[in-house]
Amino acid sequence: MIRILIADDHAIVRKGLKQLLLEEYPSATVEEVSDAETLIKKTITSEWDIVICDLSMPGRSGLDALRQIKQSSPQLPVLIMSMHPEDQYALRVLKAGASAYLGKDTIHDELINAIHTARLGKKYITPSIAEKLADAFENDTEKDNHAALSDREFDVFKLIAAGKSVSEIANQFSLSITTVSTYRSRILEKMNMRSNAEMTRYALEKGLI
Amino acid sequence: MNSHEHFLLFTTTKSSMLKILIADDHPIVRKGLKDLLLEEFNTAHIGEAVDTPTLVSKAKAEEWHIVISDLSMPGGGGLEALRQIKKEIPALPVLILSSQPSNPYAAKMIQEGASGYLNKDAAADKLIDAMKCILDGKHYIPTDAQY
Repeated sequence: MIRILIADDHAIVRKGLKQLLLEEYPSATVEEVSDAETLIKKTITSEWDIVICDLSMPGRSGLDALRQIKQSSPQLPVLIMSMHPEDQYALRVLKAGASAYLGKDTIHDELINAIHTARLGKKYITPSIAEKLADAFENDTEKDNHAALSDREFDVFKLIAAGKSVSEIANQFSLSITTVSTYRSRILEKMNMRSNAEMTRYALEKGLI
Repeated sequence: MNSHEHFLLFTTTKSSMLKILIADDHPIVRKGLKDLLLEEFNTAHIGEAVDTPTLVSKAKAEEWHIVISDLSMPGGGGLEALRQIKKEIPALPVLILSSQPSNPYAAKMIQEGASGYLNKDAAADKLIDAMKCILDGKHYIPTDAQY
């Protein structure tokens, strides 16, 4: 019996996913959580065959949860799903250890294949991601500015770009205000920017927020 | 016929099946919505649309008791669909679902003729209440909406 843990802050999406999974695996155990913190705890306290996690959740992101899960349970396959276009996040998510990156518009058709592949210990790569990977090898010099950011810097960057204050971000990640301010300075330097407004404009242009 | 008469038609004609048209570009969201609706209205007929033009043409092609539409969809979006539906089938109630917080979108949607507005975060708990309220001829307004 396959044990599947799903994490998404939208109950309707969890319901749709659960329905889809139970159609394919009628005897599966499917449990749901709505935030990253609970997801991380559940992966530590119980045994699972696969985790399906939304990238954008309130509080800690799916990417953050993925990194933590890969530290505590490196063998547990994690599929990341997202509303964002594949090319913006896919490489970062796969690099952090995800077994697949699925857009919510295609997950319906690809989820079961992705689960099969992930359970074999392999990565499930969609054709558009394969193309992106090939491009990344070919055009290493044409990298987006944000590709230079570490995963944590990228998380902070997105929140600043979305208008969150340094203290709100510090609170969300349980970091000190000074640490977040240091991240901000580093992000500005790496991206060659001078203001939060520039970050917002960049993030909007790239479809990151 | 206003939306209340619409509902009376449904409740007084027991043989008439509740017909709900849902629109969202994400199949997984449609699946979740459909499942949620069928738990409460198990004999309902649920039609699906994946974008704005399909929603508008399906809304016109058959009689429906209610439309539940996502705000962000390809081909114009939920607001465009709402405007077209309200122009051509003013009595058909439309409930808008969105990933955006209620404020300030709710007020805008109600002004444009929607019968209700729900944030997708709250939708699983409140959808059925919202549906009943709307089918009863009333508006469903989130408590955090500002005017």
